[in-house]
Amino acid sequence: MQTDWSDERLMLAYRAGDADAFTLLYHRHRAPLYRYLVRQCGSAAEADELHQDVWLKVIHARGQYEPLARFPTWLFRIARHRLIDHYRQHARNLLAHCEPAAGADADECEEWIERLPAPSEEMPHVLHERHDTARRISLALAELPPLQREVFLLAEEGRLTLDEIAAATGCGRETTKSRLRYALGKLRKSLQDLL
Amino acid sequence: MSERPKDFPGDPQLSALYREHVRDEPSAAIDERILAAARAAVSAPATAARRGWWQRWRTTLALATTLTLTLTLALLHERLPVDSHREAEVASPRPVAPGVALPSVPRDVAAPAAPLVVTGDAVAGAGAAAAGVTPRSQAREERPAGQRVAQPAGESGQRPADGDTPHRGGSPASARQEAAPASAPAGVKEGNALPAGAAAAPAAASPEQQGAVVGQPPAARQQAKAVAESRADDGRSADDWLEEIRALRREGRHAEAAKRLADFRRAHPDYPLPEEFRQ
Repeated sequence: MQTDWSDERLMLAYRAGDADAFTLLYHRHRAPLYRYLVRQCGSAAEADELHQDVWLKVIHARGQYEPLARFPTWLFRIARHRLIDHYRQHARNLLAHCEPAAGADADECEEWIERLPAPSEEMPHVLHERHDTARRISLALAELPPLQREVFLLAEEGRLTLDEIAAATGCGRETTKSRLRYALGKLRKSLQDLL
Repeated sequence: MSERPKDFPGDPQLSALYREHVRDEPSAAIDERILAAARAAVSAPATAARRGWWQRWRTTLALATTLTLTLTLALLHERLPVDSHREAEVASPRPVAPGVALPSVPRDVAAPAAPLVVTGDAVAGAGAAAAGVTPRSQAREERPAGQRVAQPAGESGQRPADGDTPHRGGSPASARQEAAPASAPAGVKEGNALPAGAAAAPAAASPEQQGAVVGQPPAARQQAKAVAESRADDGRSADDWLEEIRALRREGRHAEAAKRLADFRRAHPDYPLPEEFRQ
């Protein structure tokens, strides 16, 4: 059955014209990708648009798809590029902060937090609907430096390895590892009473 | 899922907390739009392929059709000129001045009794048949001169069966003779067997062609006969011609002999006449 197929096999089947394979693939990755986008851009409406754009890019790029990497790596790389385009359009000054030098210290990004939009707080309907814990987790994520948050979301939502995150973000493996460690430490500190 | 390496700085507790409480998902409308786009993307090539088949074979089919039409027209055209010339000649024989002087006519070419009319090609075919040549090649030889004329049946039926050697028509000399005024109408009637081209095998003429020529006025028939007879001199040597004139004189047909001599002088103005023909 197709449900047992790997992501890469499903994508190859879709490239060959099997629309059902794409449906299965989409349902596997729709929620993680969407959460990654929502947490990164901070707006559900923008996340909807970005989510649709990313999947349309996947559809249009199916002819060039080769299973050289895991499908989530390919998918989240597309999503990240789309996010960068989004930043360029809506927050040009943020672009420089999102693409610092590979060896930059993650702690230097602390000041960027103040410039970033607070994702959840700006959406009252989200605040009302979410559980208190969820709100606190979102707040904790929003308070993370963008690069640390990105690494955390790629690891958590995309289930990417350090190497895959490093390849997707264009950073070294150790830098990625350092960012992830910082992110986990800050989150643990913010959500300590919930753990 | 890929296997996490040992040095992966994960936090299982934090990860579980995150997954438990963060459950944002895209709306159903977005899901539907994306899935519809995915289905449309893979179904579009099928339509394109159907169109592509016709587009791929359209040029080939057009070329094949054009080639077939060209070949068909070429094959038809190969037969067409003979038929069209026949029809044109039957419908409008070449006009000849009334009472034209006609040269001598070979007598050894027997005019058929049965057929009523012969066309130019039929005449040519008959002559060719007598000479062992295919009618078509004979007709093509005659075509440049434009001398094919329908021959009235009644006239040809009255021609004597005996006569001179057959001759081929269509020479410039005979063309000149067509325009010459008639000096001896009797000459037309006497000894005027059909020329080689007009003598035999009128059976080759179709009934339509025969009917068309029968329907011509007598003047036209006369003209046609004159033109056909004028061909009789073509290819005839001067000595043969003079011998004919001698024979006419011996038979006492002096008027006809004089007329033939005049024709001879027109055809061969530089030929040195023997003493007996000088006046």
